[in-house]
Amino acid sequence: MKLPADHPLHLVIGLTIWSVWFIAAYGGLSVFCSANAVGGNEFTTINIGLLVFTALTCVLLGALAVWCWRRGRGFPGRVSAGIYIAAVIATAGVGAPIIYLPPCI
Amino acid sequence: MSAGVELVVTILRMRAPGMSLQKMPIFCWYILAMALMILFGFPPLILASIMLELERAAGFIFFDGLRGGDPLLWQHLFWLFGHPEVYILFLPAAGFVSTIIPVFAQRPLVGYGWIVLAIVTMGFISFGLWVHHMFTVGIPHLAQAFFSVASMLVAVPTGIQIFAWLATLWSGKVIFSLPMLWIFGFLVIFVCGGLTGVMLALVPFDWQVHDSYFVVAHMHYVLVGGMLFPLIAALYYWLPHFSGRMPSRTLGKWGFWLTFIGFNATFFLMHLTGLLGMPRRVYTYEAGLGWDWLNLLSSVGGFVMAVGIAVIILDFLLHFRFGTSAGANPWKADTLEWATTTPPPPYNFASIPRISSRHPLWDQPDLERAIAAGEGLLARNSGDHREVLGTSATEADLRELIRVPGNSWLPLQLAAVLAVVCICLLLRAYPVALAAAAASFIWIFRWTWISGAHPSNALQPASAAPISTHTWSGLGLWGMGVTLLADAALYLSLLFGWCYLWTVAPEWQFAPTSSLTTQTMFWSGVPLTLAAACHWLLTRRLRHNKSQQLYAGLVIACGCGILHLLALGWTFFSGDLAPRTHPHHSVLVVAIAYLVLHSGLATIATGFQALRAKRGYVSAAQPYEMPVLRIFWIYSALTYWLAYACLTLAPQLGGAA
Repeated sequence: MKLPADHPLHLVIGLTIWSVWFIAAYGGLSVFCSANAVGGNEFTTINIGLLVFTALTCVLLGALAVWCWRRGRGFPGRVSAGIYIAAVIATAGVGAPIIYLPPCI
Repeated sequence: MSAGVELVVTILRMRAPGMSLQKMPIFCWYILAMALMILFGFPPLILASIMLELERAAGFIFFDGLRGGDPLLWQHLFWLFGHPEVYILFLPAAGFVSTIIPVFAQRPLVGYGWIVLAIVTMGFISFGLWVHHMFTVGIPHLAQAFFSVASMLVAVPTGIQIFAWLATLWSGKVIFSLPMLWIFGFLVIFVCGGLTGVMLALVPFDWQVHDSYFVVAHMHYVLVGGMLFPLIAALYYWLPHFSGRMPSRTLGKWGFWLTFIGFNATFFLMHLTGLLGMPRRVYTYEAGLGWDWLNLLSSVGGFVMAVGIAVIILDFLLHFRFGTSAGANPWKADTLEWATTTPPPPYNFASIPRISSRHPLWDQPDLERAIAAGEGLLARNSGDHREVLGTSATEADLRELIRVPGNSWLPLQLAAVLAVVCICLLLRAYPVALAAAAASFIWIFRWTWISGAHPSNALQPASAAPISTHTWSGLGLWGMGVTLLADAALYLSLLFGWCYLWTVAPEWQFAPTSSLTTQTMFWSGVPLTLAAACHWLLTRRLRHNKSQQLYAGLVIACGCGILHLLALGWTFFSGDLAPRTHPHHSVLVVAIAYLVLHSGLATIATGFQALRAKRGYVSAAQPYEMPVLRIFWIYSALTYWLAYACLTLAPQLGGAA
């Protein structure tokens, strides 16, 4: 079943994806740091993994924003596209420190 | 929680016909977001409270670090609730502001769509901030940075709303009536509180002022500015609907200015005392630390504010006797609640109008008369029933006619029994609490028996819409769906707690032997799955008008449920669980209690439904109740198998025992 672009569920899907990304990133980082004794200021595999995950999430949300903007008509479609963009900003913004901060200290 | 469910379902399914989402009053968007936040925000606190009581009263292990628990788990669960709670308080207040400003600016709200976007965004992002209350507990920098950025990001949707309010005021002709005066106070104070909030989101700054008076000042600027001021504005705004009279402008102005000046004198200075190093939660301190005169001025401000609040209370009391008559729509507002007299008649609206605008009273000037004249829907009641309309969630198309329950002692009696449960738990009279909890089911099922398609509840078919008990997606299904969202939030919080203890708690150890084997848990789940599948099939058959063997089928589903409960009970009691010794067993006991509660309730409800099917209250013509219980069965089965995977399979894969 394909959800039309102006379906009101799109109002919550974008930030739900952000929430899942947030939980997975924070939870994954915490579990990784508990299981591995990583010290120092080095840029580790968990940084790379989280960056890739963040980039993929942003691409998905961005694609959904464009799709909703193009296909959606009227109020729900436009607002949903805006919320998808908000989710992209939130994902990229919260994920930005992955680039320069070591994971476990 | 139940209020949250009720608000969500009412807003989505019981709007006036024609009031599509984009025509909905902005206040409803705020309340919808707040109600959904309640559903996801409160369960972690409820779970944490249950765990704390089990640890305190029964010796279970969750938060005691020496025995394998972790006190930080309490902080996580508490703040998972605690920070969204700030926005649960703020959103209705912002809803008051967004409702009141356009009325007194005499123009529609600027950026309605942007504000809806901001509300939804704020509702979500506010759940990603909780660790900013825990910056000093030793969490890795990168994790702190996630929450620091999220805490700053949440200021963006707040800023969108503030600019929309300012733009509305800028482009309108503002009338400075009493409600507007309080909104002015809100704008000044809340912006200051928001700015110090962004400061506190910065980890190094938070470390410096943590647990100081700066935080006290920030909290009061946000909560008093963000909640109390709009609340008083709203009280003044809707007061004519309560009393039919207007408040005194003179007393109201004195009350406002004394409160505004007193508040700022009290709390603005606390920023300085905090920056000078004064810790919070102290009742006295050494002289000569530089805090004396600031605290003296704060105290004077506190008295001034108290006088201001007293003047407001006096104004409220006096207006009942001396206030001038309000008349209809005294503020010339645009929203439907003003389409009645002040105060409104006991039945509120004589008829339900069809809505074609976001500002019905501005765009349909004849509406008040038309409603009173019975020109809308439901103008004539079909008996001594209370009837309302059900509409579709998006476009508010007319869907069904709903009978609202009438007067009954049953809810009060049920509440009294539940009060006995709570008081006995506090007094540690556990057998009495258990007996009262069991007794409460008598009232619950008695109340349920006379609901739905019970003959005492029958309605005459309406010409415009079918009766709700004849439909497949009535309010009950929506109510169950929304309730299960909150239920799932509690369950996921439990799994989070277990995962947290496993991976983070320093003294955590798996129990030396696995008393709940994967095999016994697996075979206990089979009859549960069969019961859920059986109910699902019966509902599907009913959908195709096949109601033969409905009673027998429901009895079989109930029987499978009983078999599952017996098997799970045997598994539980034959195991050697030691929740007072092993935290893993503590989590297992809570999880099994959760599962038994759900599958047990589903089993009893199915037996109950079988009786109703036998009486003809559930049938192909009246299917309303079947899909409600179907999703509950599916949920019960899914949570069981998730518990099986997480609590019995995962530890084995992880090398436990």
